[in-house]
Amino acid sequence: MKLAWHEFIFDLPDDWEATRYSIGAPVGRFEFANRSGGLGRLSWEKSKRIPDDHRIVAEYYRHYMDRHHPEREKSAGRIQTVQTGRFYVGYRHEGEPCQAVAYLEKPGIILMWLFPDYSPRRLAEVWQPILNSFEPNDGSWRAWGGFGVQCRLPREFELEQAQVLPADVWLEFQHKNMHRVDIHRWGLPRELLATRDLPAFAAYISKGSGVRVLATRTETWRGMVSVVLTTETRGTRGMDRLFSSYWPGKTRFWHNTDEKRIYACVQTAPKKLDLLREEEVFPE
Amino acid sequence: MKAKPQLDFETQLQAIPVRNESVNMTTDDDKPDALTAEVRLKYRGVMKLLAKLTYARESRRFELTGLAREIFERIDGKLTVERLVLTLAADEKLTFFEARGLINHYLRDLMQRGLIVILGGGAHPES
Repeated sequence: MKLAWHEFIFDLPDDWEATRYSIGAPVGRFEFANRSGGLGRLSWEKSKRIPDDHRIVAEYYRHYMDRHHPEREKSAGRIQTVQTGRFYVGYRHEGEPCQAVAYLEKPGIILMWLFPDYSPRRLAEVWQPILNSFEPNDGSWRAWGGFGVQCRLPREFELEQAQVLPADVWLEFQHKNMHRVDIHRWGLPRELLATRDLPAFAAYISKGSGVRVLATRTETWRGMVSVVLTTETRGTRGMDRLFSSYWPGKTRFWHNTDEKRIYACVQTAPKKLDLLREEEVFPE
Repeated sequence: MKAKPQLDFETQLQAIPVRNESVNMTTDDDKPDALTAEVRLKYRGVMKLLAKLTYARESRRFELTGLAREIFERIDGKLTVERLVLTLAADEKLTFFEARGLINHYLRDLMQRGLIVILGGGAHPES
């Protein structure tokens, strides 16, 4: 599973699920778990200064010992460290957490992984492959991946909102020029399409989101049943807002029967802007 | 007010949903896909008197279709919540936490409507 968010990309084992997430670029975190419990926490924080990696790791262990084993000696001197890709990894004894720190100079971000329950085997077989898979997400098209959604958008688009419910994921991106792209992903298509077909489902969802549907076209897209809606939405900026002008939009729904998921890519933008092509947003 | 104690993750998964045996389950000929559950309503104390005076209804009917019916029919008093979660995840290609979220939500709905009770992990319906 590829996790691509703001400034980083990692390859995670398939059974790692994000149970907590943040959408903010300056500071945030992800927490991962599976049936067996917590697997790791990835946090990020903006920092103008290059951090002292060893000091971060040592301070973490000092706080950890204070909180969990106040009776034991608090010296952090016996921390073992290893460099794994861009990450400075620190660990002590088996059963204690393991921490990995990296600084991304260009965006000025500290990335910190915290893995519970250190063992040499886990470090070598699970955590080091994750750390080695790190790629900076610094292209002109930025990758976004998480909660089953994999897409890419021009760098100027920022994540505005994310709503992750069971089998119902919604990510909302917006450009400074008010071009908006929403990505939806639903599970349980046989329930969603039990009493209606995909065009009817698309019309129902669009109606709820306040857009006006001008035309509906059913087609095959990448071998999947797809519905394309030509829409318009009330302008939300400048004179368009004042005169209630409509902005053009396009929504594509498609049903991936292999994954048992329904996807939608909703776009609206001021009149003079070009909408993105889905082939660019969802590379094969 | 005192907060209700939260069940931990493992206890939740090992809990066993059990159907309310007094619920009358029927299938109508004109809606063969739907399972109709009729729950008898019980009023106590002053409510009993008020219900009699106001001719309050004595039962409520719920219609279960599609996946809701399938999951309800899987509840046999032996399967744990975890088994229901894993089955749903495998059948519908959901992740573990997605299936857990949906099953928990659905079981809570069934419980609030009096169709099932949830026994704590390790408990057996006969005990």
